[in-house]
Parts: sequence; structure tokens; C-alpha cells
Amino acid sequence: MDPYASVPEVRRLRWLVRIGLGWAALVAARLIHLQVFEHENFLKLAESQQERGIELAAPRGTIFDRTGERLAVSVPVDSLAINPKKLKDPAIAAAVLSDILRLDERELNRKIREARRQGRGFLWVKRRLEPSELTSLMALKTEWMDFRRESRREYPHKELGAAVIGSVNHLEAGNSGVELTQHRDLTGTPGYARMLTDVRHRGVEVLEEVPARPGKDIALTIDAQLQFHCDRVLKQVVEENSCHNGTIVVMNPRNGEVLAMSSYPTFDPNLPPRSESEMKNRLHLAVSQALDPGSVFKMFTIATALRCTRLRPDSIIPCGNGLFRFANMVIHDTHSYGALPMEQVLWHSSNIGAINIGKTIGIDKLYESLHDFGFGTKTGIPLPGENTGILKTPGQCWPGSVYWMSIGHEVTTTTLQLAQACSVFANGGFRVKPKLILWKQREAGGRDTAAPSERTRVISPEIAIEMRKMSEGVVLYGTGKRARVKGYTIGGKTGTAQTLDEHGDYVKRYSSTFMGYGPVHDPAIVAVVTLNGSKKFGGIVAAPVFQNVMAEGFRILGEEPNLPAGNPPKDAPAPTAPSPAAEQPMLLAQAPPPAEITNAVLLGPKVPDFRGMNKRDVVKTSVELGMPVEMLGNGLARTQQPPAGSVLASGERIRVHFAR
Amino acid sequence: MATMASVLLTEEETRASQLDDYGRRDVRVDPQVRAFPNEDILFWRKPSIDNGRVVRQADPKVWEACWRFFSAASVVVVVVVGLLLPNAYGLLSGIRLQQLQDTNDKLREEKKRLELVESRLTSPERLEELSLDLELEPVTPERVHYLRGVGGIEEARLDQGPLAKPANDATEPRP
Repeated sequence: MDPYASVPEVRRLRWLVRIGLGWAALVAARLIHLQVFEHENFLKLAESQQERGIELAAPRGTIFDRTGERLAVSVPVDSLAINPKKLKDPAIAAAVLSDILRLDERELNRKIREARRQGRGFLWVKRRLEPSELTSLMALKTEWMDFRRESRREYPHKELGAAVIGSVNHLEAGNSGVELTQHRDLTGTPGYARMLTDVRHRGVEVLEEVPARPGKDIALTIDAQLQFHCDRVLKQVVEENSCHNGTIVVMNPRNGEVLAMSSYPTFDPNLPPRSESEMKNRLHLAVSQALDPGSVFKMFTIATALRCTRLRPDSIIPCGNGLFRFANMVIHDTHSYGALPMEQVLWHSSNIGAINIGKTIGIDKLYESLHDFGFGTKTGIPLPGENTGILKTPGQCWPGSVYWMSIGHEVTTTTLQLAQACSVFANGGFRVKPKLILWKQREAGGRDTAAPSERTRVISPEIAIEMRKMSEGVVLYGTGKRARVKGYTIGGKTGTAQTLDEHGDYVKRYSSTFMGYGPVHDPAIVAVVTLNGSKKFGGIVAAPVFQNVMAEGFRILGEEPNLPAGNPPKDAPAPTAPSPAAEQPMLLAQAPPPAEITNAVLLGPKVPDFRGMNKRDVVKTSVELGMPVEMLGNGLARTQQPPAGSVLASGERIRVHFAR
Repeated sequence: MATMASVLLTEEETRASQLDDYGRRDVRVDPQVRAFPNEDILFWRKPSIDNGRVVRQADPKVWEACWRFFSAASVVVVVVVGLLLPNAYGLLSGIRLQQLQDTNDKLREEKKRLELVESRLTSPERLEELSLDLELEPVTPERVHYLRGVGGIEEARLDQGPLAKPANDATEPRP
């Protein structure tokens, strides 16, 4: 018997203990329920609150020019999204946001209400905010606004080289130019990270991470300064002469690097295209537009003649007194000549002379040679929409095709193909593939320099030197006088091809071209200027542009002059009767005209044969014989003036031309 | 204790136990304490209880109990802190690390924006506009003089050409 059972205080105390124990039991039961039975649910809830998945953005690679100037850069920007379900008053939110972001308030209000009706918790308001807009929005500090980090592509130089660099769409995918062709390398791979966060959603620990792979940086062979100059000059000449469009290509003939490539009309890649046709206009005309080259093609015809026939630069070519008839065709020359040495056919751009040369070559050999020069095939440059041009095979030709093709008709070429083919003369006989990419960034760091361009031997070094000599005559005595550059020897060829209208009829508009290089003894730059729809001839409108571009190119690239101060003779002698087979001096600017040389009194020792020797042997031999020698170019001796066996005049120097 | 005794007194006894002139209780009034009901035990109180010489002495057992409690509590605190501190430190370090990484990312982004601004400011078009505004002479190939010549160009000499000093220049030579 419990003696204290009847004590009220003890009874009260015992009831108190029982209630307490009961309450403790409830608490314990609840604890067990939460910790054991609801463990998984709460674990998931905790994870959802404490852990956060983040996408790690992979910035798009930067595009540089050859000097490190940034041409295309991706910068991070913020975009605004809202949670419509958290909005208390959509109308007020729409009013505030439309005021800051300069949007249509009614439209925004409608979108928010629509999203709420559909139960959506996410709605984009504006992508890629301006810095001022971002600052204003962040000052509001609302819980229904969500800022997402994105990327925006910027082109700081605007139209500079726009057709080469290209542009991107709203998803930062390339849609033209290098941005399109190198899209895979430029685009990175986004990563992912799962983080543990605190109550303020600050990251505490990274639980899982897949690192982002940023896009590769790419450097082009383009020089931004030269590109800017070419763009500006081209725009000016196209607008002044009311041409349809124009292109300029400047190239290093030794390694194929494209130093500048202009196309006009152009565009601002910072602005999106407004239509499909505007998107098509973003192709680079120097690779996508193929035109009749006209008389520039005579250089390739004559080179083929030197390569495949017995014709030489001093071979006499009948020029039909300016008239040629074949079938129902009549072809005229601008000036009538009875006959001209082959080199003067080039100087004076005689159509009939070129036709007769082409007739001598024959269509099969002409086609084969032109194909070797790269016509009718793509150059492989990494730009979209490249045109192969038209080069008919012998099977596709009619009997008159060889005449037309000899003078640059019935064939179409792009400006880049002309530059590639012209480089063959400039670099000693190799067709070098044009190169646009200088280096790409490696994933592990460092740079992958692009492999040297493929080189294919097309003509011998001797023929290349002969062509350079002849083309220098075009600039000094022929149709290309306006292409002269002070202080430098220049060689080249003018071209003027009549264009057709939409009905296929010839109109009084021309495709005016100048193609050339300099300095002649060892060209550092090749440039081709093409103006489509010009009312003037190539020698009038394209040659001055070429002169401007070459002068600036020499200055920017630091190419020193190779002529003494003072211009070469302005007025060339009239074409003489076919001269005897005496070789013309290479540097005609320093030598008197041909007639004076033939009248000179020749006294002195006989000139040895230096051909095939290297420079050291030439110096040694000349020192032993006591003969002054001027050495031009690099490699092995290919030609010399005066020729071997001739007598060296008093005070005369032997010029030896070297090529690889 | 003193208050307990006064609770047990009746009113009469309370009045009787009023303090005398010297502030002392008069114990000559009935010292017997009122008996408990139904109890045969009687209590007498002391005439006066003088606690003036009572000295509070520390209870060694309480002292020991206190020290035991303090020690145990200290051990518990040290153990708990020792267990939680690395975790807390890790947490704070993680926050700091993430803040630094965020700062690093922001600085990289800022650098990219500044590089973009730099490219815009140094673009050939802008430089040309500036040169026109400042009325500078354009750079043309004719104005470039090469000091080392090829092709027969003479070296630039200080007594000739654009670098030549005027004949009547009285400037003192530099030491």
C-alpha cells in the first residue's frame, strides 16, 4: 500500500509526471516518424533547397587579325526573366519593366497574363540587357525577377572585313563568313556544376562539376590596317563610279596568306539581317561572284604559250591590223597593229595578237594550263559560297572557244582565283593555296599554327621571270601606266570585259580589273582589283585603286623601295617595229628604252654563263673576272642580262635574276 | 528560517513578540510555539536567536559538485566545439572560396568588356576620325623615309635631307 497515495500533493505530482511523460512520448514518436519514415522525403527537400545546379557558360572564341587586333569578341551580358506566378500585380510589373526596358507595356502585360493563366513560372522579358538597364533593374530588388547570364557577340570595328569575319544569329551561331565555317572550333561546350548553398543561396561547396570547354580563339591572316584601307578605297571608287559592286584581294604570293579581302557593298555584323536577301548579300563577292576576267587572262594565255609552244617574248605575232573575223564574229583591237612581239601584245593588250597566240596553243593545252593555274576549281578558302567559276573542258567547247578564252571570255573567274593564279608568276612558278587562318588556339593552351599552304609547280622559274618582265612593260609602256607606284617596280595587267544585262545583251558597263604585284624582282604582294558594272576601262578606274592599295601595302608591311628616288619615265616610246632577238632588261625603269641598247658600242670581256649557280658562286666568279654584278631575287640564277657570251660594255653591270 | 517561525505565531504572540526598546524580541512572553493540530509534540523556541555570530561556511560538497559540473560542462563544450568547428570552418572557407571564384569570374568578364572598349577606341576608323579632328597630316607612303637602303637608296645622313640641322643653328651640343 502506497502510504503517500492519498496525499493530494503527491497525487497531483504524479499526474504531472504522467502528463509530462505522455508529452515526451508524443515528441519521441513524432521524431521517429520524421527521422525514420519521412527521411527520404526530407532529404530530397533539403537537397532541393540546399543544392543548386548551375550551367557553366562556354564563351565563344575571339577572332583576331594577324597583329592581335580583336575583330570579334563575345562579352557576357545579363538577360531578364520573371516568374509570373510570384507577381502580385502584373499590370504594375509590366509598367515598371516597360519603362526601364523601353518595351510595349500592353504587349508585355498580355504576355505576363497569358503566362500566369498557363501556370508558367518562367517568362523571358528581354535578352542581352544594356549595362544601364541592368543597373536600373537590379536596384528594384524584387523576388520575381531572375537574371540569367548569356553572351553577346560584338564586332568592335563594325564593317571592317565584315564579309570575311561574318556574323552570328541570336543564338550566337555563325551564319556567314569565318564565323560560319569555323563555327565548330569557335563554339565551346557548356559545363555543369552542382553546388551546396547556404540560406542566402551563396555557394559553399561544389559537389559535382563538369568543366566548360571554351571556344578556340582564331587569328586570321588579315591585317586590320590594310583591310581598313582597302575597304575605304573600294567604297569610294564604287560609289564615285556608280559600279554595281567591287572586290579587292591582297595576298602574299610566297605563302598564300590573304592580307586583305574587301567586298563592297558591305554590312555591319553588329546588326542582324532584316531579310533573307540581305543574308545572301553577306557572302564575300571575291569568292562567290565569278565574272569574265577580260584581258587579264592574256597573261595566262602568254604564259601557256611560253610553256607549251616555241613562242618566246620576242616572237612576232600577227595582229591583223586590228580586225579579226571568225564565223559571224568580228573582234576589234583598240589600236590597230600589223604585228607585235609577243611581249608587246601584252603591253598593248592586243586581242587579235592574243587570239593568234591561243590558236597556236590549241584548246587542249590551253584548258590544261588554265586548269593548272587553278581556274575552274575552288581555292578551298574557308569562306562560304565559294564559286568555282566556269572553265569549259575541250569537250564542251566550240571551235571559236579557244579565241574567246584566249582573251578572257567564255570563262568566268572569281577575284580570289585571279589572285591565286597571279601569284604563280610572283613566287617563281608555284600555285599556292590561299590561306585565311593564321593560327587556332589549342585546347590545352598554346597555338596551333596553320600548316604551310600546298604548293604545286605550274610553270618553270624562267617562265615566271619572263612573265614578270613582260608585265612590268604593261605598267611602264602599256595600258597599266596608272598602276605605277613611286619607288617600286610594278608588274601587272589591265582587264575590261563587257557585261551582260538580265536579257543576255551586252551593255555599256564593264567588269574592270587590274591584277598585279610588286616589287617585280621578288614580289612581296599580289593585288587584284575588280569593279563590276563600271563605265570605265580597267586601266582608268581599277589601276589607280591598285596603285593606292599597293603603296599602302608596302608601307604597312615595311617593304622598302627598290627604285632610286624619282619616277620611271612617264611617256614610253611608241611601239617599235619588231626588234631583233635581244633580251629586254628586267628593270626597264633603270635602263634606256630598247632602241638605245641596240645602238650602244659594245666593248669589253665576254659575259660568263651564271645560270644554275647560287649567289656565292656568282659572286666568286664575278670577282675573279672583275665584272660588276647586280643580283636580284633569291635561289638559283635563272636569267641574266646581258646573256652569256655577249660582250660587256664599259660601265655596264650584269644583272642576274635568281628564283627558287 | 526566521520567517517560518513568524508564520507559525498567532496574532497575540506576534504582538507579544514585538521588539523592545533595543530592537530585540522579548522572549519572556510565552516561548512555547503553538502546537500542531492533533499532535502531541510541542515545540519551544529559543528566547532569542542571535545569528550575529553565524558565519556562512562553504559547503565542501557543494563546492565539489560545482566544480564537477563546471568540468563536465567544459568537456562537453570542448567536444562539441571540436566536432563542429572543422565543419563550420569548412563552411566558411567554402563560402569564401566561392566568393573568390565569383569575383574572379566577374573580373574576367570585366576584362573582356574593357578589351572590347579598347578595341573600339583603337579601331582604324576612330583613329582616322581623331586625326582629322586634330588636323593631323595623313600617313602616306611618300612621307616614309627608310634609313637603310636597298636598290641604290642613300642612307639618311644628319647633314642632309629632312633630318639635317640648319646651318645657323646655335644650339649647344648635348654633353
